[in-house]
Amino acid sequence: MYKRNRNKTQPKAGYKENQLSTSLKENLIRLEEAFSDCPDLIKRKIFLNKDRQGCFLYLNGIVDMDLVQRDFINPILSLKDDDLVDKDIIERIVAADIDCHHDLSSVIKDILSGFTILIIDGNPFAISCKLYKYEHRSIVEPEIEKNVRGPHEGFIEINDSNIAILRRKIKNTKLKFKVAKVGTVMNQTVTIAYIEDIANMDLLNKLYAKIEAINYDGMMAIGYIEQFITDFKLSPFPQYLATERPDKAVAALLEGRFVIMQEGTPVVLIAPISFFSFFQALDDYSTNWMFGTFIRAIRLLGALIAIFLPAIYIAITSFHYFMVPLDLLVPLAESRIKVPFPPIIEALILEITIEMLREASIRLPSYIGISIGVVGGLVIGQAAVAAGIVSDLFIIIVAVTAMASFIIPTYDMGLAVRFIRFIFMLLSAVFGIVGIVVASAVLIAHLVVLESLGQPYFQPVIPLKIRELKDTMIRAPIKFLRRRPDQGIPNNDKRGR
Amino acid sequence: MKKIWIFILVPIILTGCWDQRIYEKVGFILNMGIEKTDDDMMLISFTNPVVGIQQQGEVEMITTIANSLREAREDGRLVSPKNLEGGKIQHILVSYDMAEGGIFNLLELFQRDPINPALALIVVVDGSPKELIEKSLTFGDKPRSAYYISQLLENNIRNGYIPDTRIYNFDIAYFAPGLDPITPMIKLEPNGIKITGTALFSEDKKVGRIDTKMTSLLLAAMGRLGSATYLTSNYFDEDQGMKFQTAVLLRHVKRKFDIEVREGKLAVNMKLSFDVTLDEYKWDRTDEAINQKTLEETIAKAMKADYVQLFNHMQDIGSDPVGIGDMVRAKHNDYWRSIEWKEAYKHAEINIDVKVDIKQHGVIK
Repeated sequence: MYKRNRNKTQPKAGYKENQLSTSLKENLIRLEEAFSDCPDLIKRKIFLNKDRQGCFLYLNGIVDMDLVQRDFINPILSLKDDDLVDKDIIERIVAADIDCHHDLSSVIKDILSGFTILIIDGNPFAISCKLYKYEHRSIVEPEIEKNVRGPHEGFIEINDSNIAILRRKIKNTKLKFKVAKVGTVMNQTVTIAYIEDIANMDLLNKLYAKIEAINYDGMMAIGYIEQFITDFKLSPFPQYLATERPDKAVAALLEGRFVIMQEGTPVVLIAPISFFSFFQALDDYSTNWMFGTFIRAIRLLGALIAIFLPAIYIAITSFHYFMVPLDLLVPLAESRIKVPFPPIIEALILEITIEMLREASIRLPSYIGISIGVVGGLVIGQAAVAAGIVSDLFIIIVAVTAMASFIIPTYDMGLAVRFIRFIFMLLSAVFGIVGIVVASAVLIAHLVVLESLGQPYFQPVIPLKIRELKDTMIRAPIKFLRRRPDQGIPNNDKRGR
Repeated sequence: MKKIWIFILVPIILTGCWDQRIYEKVGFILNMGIEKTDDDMMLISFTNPVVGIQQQGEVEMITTIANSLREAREDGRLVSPKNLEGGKIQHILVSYDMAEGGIFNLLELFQRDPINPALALIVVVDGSPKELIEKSLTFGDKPRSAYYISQLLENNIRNGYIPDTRIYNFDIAYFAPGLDPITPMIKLEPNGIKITGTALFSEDKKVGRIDTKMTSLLLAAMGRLGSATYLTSNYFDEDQGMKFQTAVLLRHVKRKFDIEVREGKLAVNMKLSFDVTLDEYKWDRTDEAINQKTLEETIAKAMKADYVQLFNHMQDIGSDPVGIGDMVRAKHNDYWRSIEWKEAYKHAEINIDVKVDIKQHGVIK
């Protein structure tokens, strides 16, 4: 918006472009032009001694009015006229951060950032006071990423608070933040956090360049950035780990990974990550290693079930009847005999119903969500079987599959698994078990080729890193986990002294 | 990109679904009986469980006269409401006279069509398979025919009373030059089906039979010992005027074969040492250690006698399921090539040595 205005004013303005003029009137005209139709811009004109005029400018709602009143307006008004010209004296004002700008663009930027600007007639500069206060929600545990024994805080929409959360956790000057700007219209800040001695600088530069290269008007959520910087855009798999949990971000930083934070969203991205990162949760590490291993194994099993189970059911019931054990032969046939559809149609009906149910329950307020559960449970559990639309065995399969996909701790990977499941189902309906085998081969090939920020995605299985396997499908006791994973190519892979 | 979609779509459109067999539309043939008719055709009977909303535990039986198994299935399809498929055949019941004429050619179908299972058991029936299947449908206190027979066979295979002869086992034994197949044998009784023992084959022709007790010993000699119980009479109680038996559970067997060729004559020394559990023993004074040793010796002696009888019988009929021929072929190949094995086997000298070690004897010593 600002850029466009500047281009407009360029031809007709006689004065030096971008410089503030000494005339308050002229400056106000130019600012009003920039802020036309911006009712939230407040202009408070004042008369100083000797009839000199000044004007406070700020945006309503993002300025900490109480502090500005006390620490900026009051001291200014008590200054003598002559002192107002002297930058040194102005900078002695008690407010936390005071700055002087000579150019219009900085002034506009500061106003947009929630600073209070004072322009005084006759002064060639504007005084900017950085006392801003955004309305924001409090720090609560993220709804979609709960945990049992870890901290119960989450990131919020305000970038500064998020940086503060990280800083509070990592009390070390080595924790660095690299800032980039995205959004040609929205002017958003993106911050890449890393720990200097651990993280790999080449990867940092690569990541920074990718973010800088984004050319888009605005990023509503961090998912926008993720899609722009993803290398394999045709892959269903998430290549950056999105999380709202500071503890996860800190753990990633300690492993030499990068945390990408964006102004305006509580979700941060972690890169580079591996396929197995999506199956880990803080609770794996915060409890005994036996439970950690057990639960992690169950998650991976869950992913396999969620992908393969309905497909195998379809393959068996439409091609490979001989794979059914003798004792299940007749019961399965009895449950199928009432169903008028071929297995793939039966499966699609129920799976799509479940997906609709799940999608509905995400968007609905929780008090309606309960009734959705009742309706869904009744319709799917009872009526569908009674009406002969699906077989009872398949109900169980769908239920197990749904539960299996719920235990994947990251939403993105859950989505990927759900999506892949449908591909597997369709292929198994057409080719039977051969379809499943070929699809799995393609899937594994794809996972092997995939990269996250240039690092192999299926590490440490392929390429095989035996040392790191102890924190992949199992979670070895913490005393054996003394090396950082290779995923982020850390400069220093020893944990602890 | 477009090319990739074409590559994906072409196989789906052209080849997908052609061999689809929707589960509930398939009739699963579980039982299959083959016998000879008087006019030199095959009488083939098979059953498939009827699955329907009204039907509970009903079985459809189809009998047809045909010249091949495939023809029989196609005949059956002309009758059955379901599309009959042989992929779940549990056992193939072959009549006595069929087995005597050689059954390898019967099983051609199972070797060619990959969907037909090589896991079906081959069973020789003492009597008519058709009658057996027919009768088995009427047993009120037994599961559905095919389930009954397959459970019966499975349990007795585990107990070591009959061999586990699936089609692929049969084929392996048939094709190996020095090895002969054996199959279980069953018989129809008034209110059930009974395992009667084992049919001995020479190549693919049935040549003899042994009972279940001998089968468990034979399986032990083959290294496929199940958990069989060996019974031998040891004691005559004069007060009661009854004969009592000792029962031991054969737990483990160590086999050692020593094959010698002396002046063109074949001598096989077979050493078998059994670890057994003493299950039942009519006892008088077993608490003395010397008695345990005598008992072991008594059992070993009885077993040896049985083994001698068994091997003599097998030599007479020319069936070699233990695979002595295979061992000779492997260790004395020159000799093997110089002789006609079946003849040499008949005249071979087989020395058997049995040792028994009682490992467990329960609470009472």
